[in-house]
Amino acid sequence: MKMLSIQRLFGILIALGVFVAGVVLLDLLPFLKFQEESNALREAAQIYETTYRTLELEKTKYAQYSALEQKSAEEFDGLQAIFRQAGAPLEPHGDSFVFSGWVDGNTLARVLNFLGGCSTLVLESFSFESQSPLPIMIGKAESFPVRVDLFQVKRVPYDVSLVKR
Amino acid sequence: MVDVNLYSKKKPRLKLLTVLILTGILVLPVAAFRITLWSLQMVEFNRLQSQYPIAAREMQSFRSSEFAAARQRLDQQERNLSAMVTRVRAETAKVEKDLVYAGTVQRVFSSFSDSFSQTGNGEKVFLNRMAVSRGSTMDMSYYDIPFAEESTQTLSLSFDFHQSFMESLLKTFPAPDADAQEINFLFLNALYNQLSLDLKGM
Repeated sequence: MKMLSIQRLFGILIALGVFVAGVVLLDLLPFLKFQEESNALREAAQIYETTYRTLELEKTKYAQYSALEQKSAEEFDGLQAIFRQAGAPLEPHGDSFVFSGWVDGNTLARVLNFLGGCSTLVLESFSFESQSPLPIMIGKAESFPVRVDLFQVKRVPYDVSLVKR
Repeated sequence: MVDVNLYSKKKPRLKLLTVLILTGILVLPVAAFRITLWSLQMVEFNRLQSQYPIAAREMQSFRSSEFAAARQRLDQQERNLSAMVTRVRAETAKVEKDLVYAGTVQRVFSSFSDSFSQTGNGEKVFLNRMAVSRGSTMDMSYYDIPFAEESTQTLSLSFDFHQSFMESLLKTFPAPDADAQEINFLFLNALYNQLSLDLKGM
């Protein structure tokens, strides 16, 4: 009789052990893992959305300069046209061009005037010095050659692909 | 009352059905909770998707149990977005810096042109030298020579171009480095100005 009670108790303990192990392995641990992963996913989603909105803001800010694309192209072409008309064609290299050589004084005066109205052309380098006995007279009708040592201009770069949605 | 054991000769046996029933009773709550957990995961996943609609676009391709995989995807996409933010910010800063520089140089040239166009026929301007180097200086030198007005034949002694140009420059460059010298020779009265403008940091 006593033996039977011990066996029964032993059986109950084994059953309880299996039950507790089942609860821990199949319920508790997966639940804790779920909670942890859920919190991590929530945090990742929050960070993702914040970064996404920041990117949208930055793109909107950058898109405000979209008018540059058109304007700088016009100014770039206008400057090229002045040199072309003067018989000193410029070879563009991507978004910039470099010139070195002789131009007449009128062309130089036109270039200076043109640069006074340009707001999207970046003058990287520009140097010349009067080679004639007299300096270059601004607004003078007669033409005289001027040696331009270096004239380097580039467009303000604007990457349209950055604002594409 | 006599205590009689009617099953004294019966051997205690563990029946298969009893084992199955007992096992079932033990497994049932575990299984029930497991099913509850699955539904909890599904509800939570859907809730996160509705709470974060932008991130939900990246989470759509995953099942409700794939929390870890969805998070990995979001982390990866977030890193890409961050890199994009850095790039757009850098481009914006570059454009703004270029525009500030272009505007500064443009104001110098437009001041020069405007000042020249404001002067009358009685004044001539001779540009002697110019050297612009971005990030360094903008140097120029010029002669401002007043001539006698054709109509009055009187010699003007004021250097209107120079004064107008310098006043205009002061709006952009508070302290331009200018070295203006008056040259008087016989009947010639001229002003020679060597100007250096600081373009550092542009």
